[in-house]
Amino acid sequence: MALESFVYGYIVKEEVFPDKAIIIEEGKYGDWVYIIMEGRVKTKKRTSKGMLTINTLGEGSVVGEVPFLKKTDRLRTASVIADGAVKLGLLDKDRLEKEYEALSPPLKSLIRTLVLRLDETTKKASVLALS
Amino acid sequence: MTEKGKIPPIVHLSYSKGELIIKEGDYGISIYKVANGSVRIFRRLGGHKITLAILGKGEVFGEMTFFNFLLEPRSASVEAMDDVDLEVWHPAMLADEYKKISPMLRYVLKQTLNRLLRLNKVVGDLAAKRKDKTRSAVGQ
Repeated sequence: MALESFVYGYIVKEEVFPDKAIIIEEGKYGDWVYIIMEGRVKTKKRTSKGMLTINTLGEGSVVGEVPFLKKTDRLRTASVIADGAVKLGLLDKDRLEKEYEALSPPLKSLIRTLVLRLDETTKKASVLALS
Repeated sequence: MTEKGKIPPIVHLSYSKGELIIKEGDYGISIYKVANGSVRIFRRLGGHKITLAILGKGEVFGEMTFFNFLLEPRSASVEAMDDVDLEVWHPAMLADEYKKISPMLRYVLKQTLNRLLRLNKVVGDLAAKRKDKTRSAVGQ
């Protein structure tokens, strides 16, 4: 399965990570956004009982978009770990940012709502999964 | 849909405590912004009422249907927790703009929506399971 053609125009750099590599670490600062070009990653959240897997994502999946779209603290809300060797494309954040900033305030508030809810629901799911 | 080129204005509605604003499973198109008061977003699962979120002034709900292109029914119910004033937006207000967003940004948003839908299901299932456990513990 190839990536959609418009995606390639946004990839500014390709990066390869070995199995188990920590690509993004929860709690750290950062808002760069990746797309999976080959392979798979797991998204995990830290809990009192250890790391909890939230999702497994494959080719074509975007990772790291939450702090980018949240626009507040820009802290990572979950960790992203390579599940086998994985090739990622770093997306042109400045271009995405410009596109986002050009939107009307109501549309921006809808997008922010969607992302905040994803963030809250992820937290809620990890609390419930352990109780 | 509406007459071509004519976008319906923003409507203001008020609800009293306990009134249902959105019912899960219904089809609806409006997007709501809380102007005053607070609302509870919840789902009913296995006889339980599972709270997904509580929203206050300035927060928006009904956005998931919008991002889903109005194809899916409401994924949760919303009720007034006290006397609530709402701003009701017609999706036509934003639909044309959304269509003009770059395919890449839309691609990112679509994935965000899908992850939220998936997690809402996970949260609902986990919360219902936990309530079942509590109920059987009480019954013993």
